Amino acid sequence: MQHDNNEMQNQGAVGETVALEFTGSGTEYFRIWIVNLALTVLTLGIYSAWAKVRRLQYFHRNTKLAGSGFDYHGEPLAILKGRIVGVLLLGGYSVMDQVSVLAQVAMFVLIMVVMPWLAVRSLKFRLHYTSYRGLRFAFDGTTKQAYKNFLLWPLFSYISLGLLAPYAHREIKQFQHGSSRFGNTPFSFNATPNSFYKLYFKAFLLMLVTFAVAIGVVFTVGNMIPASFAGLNNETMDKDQLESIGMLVGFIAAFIFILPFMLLLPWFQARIQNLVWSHTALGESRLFSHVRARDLLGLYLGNFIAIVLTLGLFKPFADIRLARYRLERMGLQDAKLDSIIGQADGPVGAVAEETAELFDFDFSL
Amino acid sequence: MPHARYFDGQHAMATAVELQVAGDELLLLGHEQTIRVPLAQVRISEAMGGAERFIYLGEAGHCEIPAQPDLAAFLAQHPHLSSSSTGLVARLQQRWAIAAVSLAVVFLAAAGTYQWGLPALSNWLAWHLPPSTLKELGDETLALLDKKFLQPSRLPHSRQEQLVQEMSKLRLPDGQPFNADIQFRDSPHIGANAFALPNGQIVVTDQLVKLAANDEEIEAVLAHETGHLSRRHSLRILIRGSLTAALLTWYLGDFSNLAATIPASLLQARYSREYETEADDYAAAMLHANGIAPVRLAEMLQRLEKSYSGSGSDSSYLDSHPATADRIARLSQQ
Repeated sequence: MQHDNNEMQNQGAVGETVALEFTGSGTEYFRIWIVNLALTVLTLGIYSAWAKVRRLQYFHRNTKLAGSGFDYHGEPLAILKGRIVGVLLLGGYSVMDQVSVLAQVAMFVLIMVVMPWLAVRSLKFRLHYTSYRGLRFAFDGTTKQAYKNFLLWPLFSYISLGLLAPYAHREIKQFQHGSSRFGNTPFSFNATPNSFYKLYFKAFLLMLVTFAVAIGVVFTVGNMIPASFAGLNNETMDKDQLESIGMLVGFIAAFIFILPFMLLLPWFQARIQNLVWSHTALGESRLFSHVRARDLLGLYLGNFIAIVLTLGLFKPFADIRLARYRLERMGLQDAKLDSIIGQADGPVGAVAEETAELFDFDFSL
Repeated sequence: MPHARYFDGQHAMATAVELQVAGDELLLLGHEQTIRVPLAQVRISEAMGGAERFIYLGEAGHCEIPAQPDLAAFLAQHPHLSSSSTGLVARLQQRWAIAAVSLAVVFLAAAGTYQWGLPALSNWLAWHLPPSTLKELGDETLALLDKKFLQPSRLPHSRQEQLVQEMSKLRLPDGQPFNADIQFRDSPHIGANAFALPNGQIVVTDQLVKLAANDEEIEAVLAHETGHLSRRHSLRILIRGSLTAALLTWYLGDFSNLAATIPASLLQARYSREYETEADDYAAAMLHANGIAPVRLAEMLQRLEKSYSGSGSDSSYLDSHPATADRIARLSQQ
């Protein structure tokens, strides 16, 4: 017991730098994943809510900070309800175009208008059902703020043809991180618009360069091989074979074309993760994040190849690898965890998160 | 007695405790105090590998139990404590045999979806897309082709008009007039070719027009393409490709969004022979209805075959085309 006490005093109690630890294992998670997937298939998707809870519990509890794991408290039934609502909305949107173009536009506008509200509910839910050392996280952002941040800023960014995008991005992160709380201690965000502009500018330059190189390559290759096309002409030889040749040529060209973006995305993700998290603080303790773009790129490529070669079975291992890398490069400086106390929050419904998920709102950047 | 860390749910600070069961209570023996919780309120989390076990104590907070040698024995001794964590699924997940069975189930489901589910869905969609979408698809495809593979036709206008005049006199097998919008294009890259777009347009290359021995052969080709059009073959393939890509995107997620389109295209590369036969049958019926011998199509196919194999392309890739020979034989008999 004495030993335990000492251990605990040393972990995040007073002014120390602690990094996240991830104890998840691919083989372990694979078993969980495949059984849950089979059950989801057999229940035509209904079981997916339970599978999601289990997956999140596995990842949360295997993420540790200063010796204690996180925890996830979502309820499967609430998630299921949310998913059903989401599917109905999506179905409604798809069916609308059978009715009339006007109806579909109306549906689209409705979804856009409801979206910020959904986003706030989703954040509240996600944070409230995450806990650490028994204390819950919380999101205090209001719906009004959400409209400004999730609707207006993206709109401005779009209208300005991307010139305002870095600023909008910063505002959104400010809203997200600045309105979050752990127990009674708020998070804060202090990255400057300048830092975002610098990053976006760098990304833009890199994109131009790789793009130019890619065009050059495609041009030379493309002129060497005449393009074949699916049509009557191909019936003079084995249709399948000519199709394959044609598709292969086309695909190689497209791949070379897309490659710059595929390479840039992990780079951008890495830089954004570092930028955003290194300028976030919990109370007085600053967080840190130092993932490396080249590591992330290697991970993504390796994962992708392995997933393709194993017909998808590598996916759970890939998820674990990615989580481990990203998490273990993050942590808290000058941690003062012991002084944090709880704050009572009301219950939060899950319907919003699931609905938001179906329309693909990704808050991870 | 297993040791654990206790959190009261109000403070982030941990207290070291040892666990003991006495009667119908769980005791948390701490350095300074002992906490008692009725077993009825205690819930323990599922075993999840390297993660610590969480014991939820209702209003009293929770405990985290690090891995230790006697833990399993302790839990086994007090089944009530762990009953909530040995649910069916929790037990199933522990066994590799079950994992293997699950693998089989998932694999069968995936294979079934690819073989039957996806084609069925894409067929349904192909027949239920609104005309406006079809028009858009066709227009965009033609625009793309015009940018990359096609050039304006070099056939004399009089020749183009003459062909269009003749085609407009044709009737479909059901008696309706042949209303397709025929677009002539020059394409040295593609050569003699014709294809139908979802918006009802049929593109014919100059090279094909010049290759034909007579106009009936051109009409035969158009009849075949109309067959593809009326059965929405290219649309079905396009939709199936998109659905496959969407599925893969959902599955791979993350960075692989774009990359997912690659395997999708590869999976899509097989153009069904069944479709060719359908189009041939349609063409035969349509040619009959217009007093043209279906064998014209066979003659055109032979002409195309000869022209292509002589054009210097890499014929080591190509077979002796049993598929085409079959089609020619079939058409000659109709």
